[in-house]
Amino acid sequence: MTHETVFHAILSLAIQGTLITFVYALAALGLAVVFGLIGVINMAHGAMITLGAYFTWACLSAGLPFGLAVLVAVAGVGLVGLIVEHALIRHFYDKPFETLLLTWGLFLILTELIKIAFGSDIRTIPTPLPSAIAFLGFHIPEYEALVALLSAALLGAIGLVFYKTSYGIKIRALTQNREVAGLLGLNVAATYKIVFVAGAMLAGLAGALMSPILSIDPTIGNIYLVRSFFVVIVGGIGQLLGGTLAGSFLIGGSQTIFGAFSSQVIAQTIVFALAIVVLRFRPTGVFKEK
Amino acid sequence: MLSATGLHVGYGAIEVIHGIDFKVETGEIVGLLGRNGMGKTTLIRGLNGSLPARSGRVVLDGEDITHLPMHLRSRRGIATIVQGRGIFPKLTVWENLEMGRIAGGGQKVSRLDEVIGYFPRLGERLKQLAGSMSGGEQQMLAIGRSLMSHPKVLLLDEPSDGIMPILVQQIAKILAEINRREKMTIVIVEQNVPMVFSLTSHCIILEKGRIVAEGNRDDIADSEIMKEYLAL
Ligand SMILES: Nc1ncnc2c1ncn2[C@@H]1O[C@H](COP(=O)(O)OP(=O)(O)O)[C@@H](O)[C@H]1O
Ligand SMILES: [Mg+2]
Repeated sequence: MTHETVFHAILSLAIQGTLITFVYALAALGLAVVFGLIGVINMAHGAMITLGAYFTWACLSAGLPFGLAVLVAVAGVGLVGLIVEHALIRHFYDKPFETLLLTWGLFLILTELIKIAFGSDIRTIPTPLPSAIAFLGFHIPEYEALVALLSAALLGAIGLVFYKTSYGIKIRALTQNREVAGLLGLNVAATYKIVFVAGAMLAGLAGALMSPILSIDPTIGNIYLVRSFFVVIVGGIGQLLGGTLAGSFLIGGSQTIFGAFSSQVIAQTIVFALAIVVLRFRPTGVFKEK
Repeated sequence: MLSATGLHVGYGAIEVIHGIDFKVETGEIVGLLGRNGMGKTTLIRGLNGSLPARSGRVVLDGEDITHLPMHLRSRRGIATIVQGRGIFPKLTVWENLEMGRIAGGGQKVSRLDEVIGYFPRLGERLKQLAGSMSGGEQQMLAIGRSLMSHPKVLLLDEPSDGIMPILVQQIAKILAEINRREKMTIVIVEQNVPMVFSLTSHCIILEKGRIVAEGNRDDIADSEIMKEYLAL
């Protein structure tokens, strides 16, 4: 190999790694928000991603343009989140084990409902932006670049809400001392509801935006649940946004790199090993201070 | 203006407050005394709605608020300064104060200048993380934050706990000033009897979830419990 081809290969990995980092960050964001702010590990997060993809597919089949289909999917999954929160989750906020089981059950139910409603066949969605951007001799798919950009913008927007608005003050205060936040007049139950529904909407958005780059089947979200889960763990709970991104980078990046040398199966195994090591030695995340 | 009648409060299966009758008038300061574990904090929680009443009534300015959740009681004017101060350590001093203003919704005019008038130290530390301040400064922040929502009554749970004596005196003076200037009603839970006596002579003594003595300083001075305290 000449120096040039080595350089070329490294650059190629860097570009792929960046794209995949932001796509994974998008998939993990809803899980991270719900876990980080209200302490619920939403095991149905993956199923909500799947649901977002199917809603998008259904809207496109009905003749809606892609942008509108995405909005409908986000609203649809948000509505599912609202119903679930109101009927079940809100009664169990202080019981992490119960919410884990509840959302696990929800995951099973949603997956079966998806099979009944949409069948088990693989669905595909044509990419709305089929061309590629030429960059230093590489061809970067336009649509994937757009999704990565949107994901980055979303991370930035959530950061702004979190650190620069009154609503952000309320939410950060709530995570630090719930009783006192309530005693100061905050409607804690309503705020929890909003956060859970926002998490569901983010899952729906991830599913909708990723749908053109996936083969959609009723279990496609599971892969993303597993990956998102490790992103959140590697990233750490407290460091919501930076952590999500850093976690996505480690998981996505290592998968890209190892994937380049061996099969995806081995890549996935290495990621799992990595996550187990992290869990063992840094249960609050690699990047969390203290 | 704030009263409890036959109030029972507890945690799960355990009842801690066994039927308390309690009343404080507008502009009055009442001291709530009692040793550790006697139910002072639980009584405060029954008044502010952190814990639901098992039976009995809580009335604020003629309105029965027994079944209101805590955030609505707060919006009606009951402000609590919890034991251990309850500041948000990772928010700045300014964000803590702002939270006091905005948490209950509404478009309240900021009282930041007035609050800083009472506690100039807070004004010098607005950008600092609240958790990095001393215990006394945090207590000032907790009190200042509660004032931001224009409350009618302050419930203070052991404000002197873990705070340097000089600052305890200062805080007592400021509480007296708030009471005088704003006709603020104050219920203060304390084990620091001199601090309470510097603020009021109207005291209640709580023992195992029941009121065992009530009256002014001289009335209760010769009760057994009082002797125990004053000996400390
Ligand atoms: N969260 C709780 N769950 C169960 N019991 C509690 C809880 N908090 C306090 N208690 C019990 O209630 C009683 C009164 O406690 P508390 O009101 O905190 O007393 P004080 O404030 O006077 O020290 C104690 O016996 C204590 O063990
Ligand atoms: Mg107490």
